[in-house]
Amino acid sequence: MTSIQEQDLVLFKDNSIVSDKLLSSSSSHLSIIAYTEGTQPTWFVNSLIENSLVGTACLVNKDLTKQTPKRSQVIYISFSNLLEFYTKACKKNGVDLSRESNFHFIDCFTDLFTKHITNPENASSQTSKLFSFIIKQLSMVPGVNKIVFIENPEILLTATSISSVELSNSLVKLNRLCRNLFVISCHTSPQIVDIHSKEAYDPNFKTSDFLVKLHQRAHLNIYLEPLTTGRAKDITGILTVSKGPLPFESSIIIDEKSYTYNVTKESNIKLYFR
Amino acid sequence: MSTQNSLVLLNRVFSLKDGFPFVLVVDSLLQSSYHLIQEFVHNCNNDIVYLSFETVNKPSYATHFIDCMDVTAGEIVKQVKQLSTTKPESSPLLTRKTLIIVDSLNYVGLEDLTTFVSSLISPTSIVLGVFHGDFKSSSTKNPNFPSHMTLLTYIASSILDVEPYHTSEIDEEEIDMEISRLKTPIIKALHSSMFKITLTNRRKSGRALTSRFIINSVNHTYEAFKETEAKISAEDESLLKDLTTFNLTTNTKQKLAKDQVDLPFMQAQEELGSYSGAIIYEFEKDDDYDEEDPYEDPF
Repeated sequence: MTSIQEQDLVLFKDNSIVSDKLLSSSSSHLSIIAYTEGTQPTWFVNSLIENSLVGTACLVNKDLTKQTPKRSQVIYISFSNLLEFYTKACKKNGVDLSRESNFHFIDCFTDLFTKHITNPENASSQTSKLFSFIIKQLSMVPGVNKIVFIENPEILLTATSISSVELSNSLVKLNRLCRNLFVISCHTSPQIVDIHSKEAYDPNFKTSDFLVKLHQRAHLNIYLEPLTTGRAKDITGILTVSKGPLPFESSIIIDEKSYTYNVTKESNIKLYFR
Repeated sequence: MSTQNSLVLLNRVFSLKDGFPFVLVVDSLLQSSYHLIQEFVHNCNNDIVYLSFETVNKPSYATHFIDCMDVTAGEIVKQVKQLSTTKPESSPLLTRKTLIIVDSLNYVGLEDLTTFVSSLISPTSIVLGVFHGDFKSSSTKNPNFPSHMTLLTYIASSILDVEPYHTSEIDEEEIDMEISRLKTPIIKALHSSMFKITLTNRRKSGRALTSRFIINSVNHTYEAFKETEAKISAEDESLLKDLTTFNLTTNTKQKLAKDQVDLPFMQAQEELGSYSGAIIYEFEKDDDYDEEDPYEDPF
């Protein structure tokens, strides 16, 4: 693999990761970052946060060197990690999130089932309140160039009684308040995604229904999966960038590509075209 | 139905000229209905009411945009009816039909589905409903209750099934595998502005007509889709050429002679065909026929 030339990661045809045209657009968009067990997208999400905040992506694109401070407001909503996790992880990208005034973290992990949702068997009203709180926080962030990340919201479907439509509606409301909503979600199949699941009592029924609904209104799909041929020492997985059912505005064109990538022991990222 | 007639019919469906009160569009994760809806909008000069269950941005063509999230089906119908009553009487829009676009019927509960659609239909409106056909939802209360798809295809007057149009050979099995994991493969034809549709149109007599078209939503051109026959036929002798030094092919004269040869037992089969498969034993002169049945019960 060392003889193959390393590539820079780009998501759009204008050689960008989070395009300027996307930030200046008047519409809201949805992107899905899907991963399977063993191919956690933390490195990819960190690069997206870095690019949204300051315009660079030092680990995955060596051409994006121009720093644009306060490029956009980044709001990160996590159902599975703490702020410390990202603060520590983004240090490798040269970004100190604790000092970044444009970065806002909404912790939905720490007190999820002790404070926010105390009655998971009848959770509709409490989930609705939780999302109203998130939306309020989001509205308080100044400016219109907002990039929102929401990590593992599907956990609410497996842990509470809410329906896939309720969660989907909450995400639409969030989506309307930002330029782009990145939904980070686990797509392990058939444990989480099984589109042939027909019975409502199947544990994966609700999540599959929710994720299919989500994909049907997506603009951009990013899929991280392990090598289909088996494990390799110098390859961690495959990253696929493809368009979703809804098109972006005509000036924003997705650069559909598939990369193989390697996350080294030192957390350096190497990308190669497939 | 001739190609010309089917194209006329498609144009009538797009321009909402015929009395199709409910047009159902079935799309998938391989080809969305986005471009097909644009085609309806391009042909429509009427008011467009957009009922949004999942659309984030209000479409520029929508005269009225109704946010249907967290609203019951009955309340949505009420809001739509209110819009039609607030039209000024002198408005020419009263005489033209309003197009009601429902961005996704997947969000309407199974029990409310038929009531919801039929309540929206009126002499002054046409409903264009989108249904995403990927995930087969089930009824939680009654397992024998028909699915969304069954109910919708039953009440729809026209059904438009949207598929991607592949110009080159693709491995459909692999694509289906990837889609079942919710991974969108990188194929140019997916969610493209050029796509294939299957139009099923129900006449008042009950007769259903099915035709397939290729739609180009950039230049708004439609053409009938012709199924291409398998390229390699069983008797394609060009494949046998230059394989060996022997002559494996047959010329026209040899082929004609081959076709004229009667296959053995053909005549016999014709004769026995009238007995519909019964085993008939024809005695020959040396056969020994015994009147008594050796397996007969002696008691």
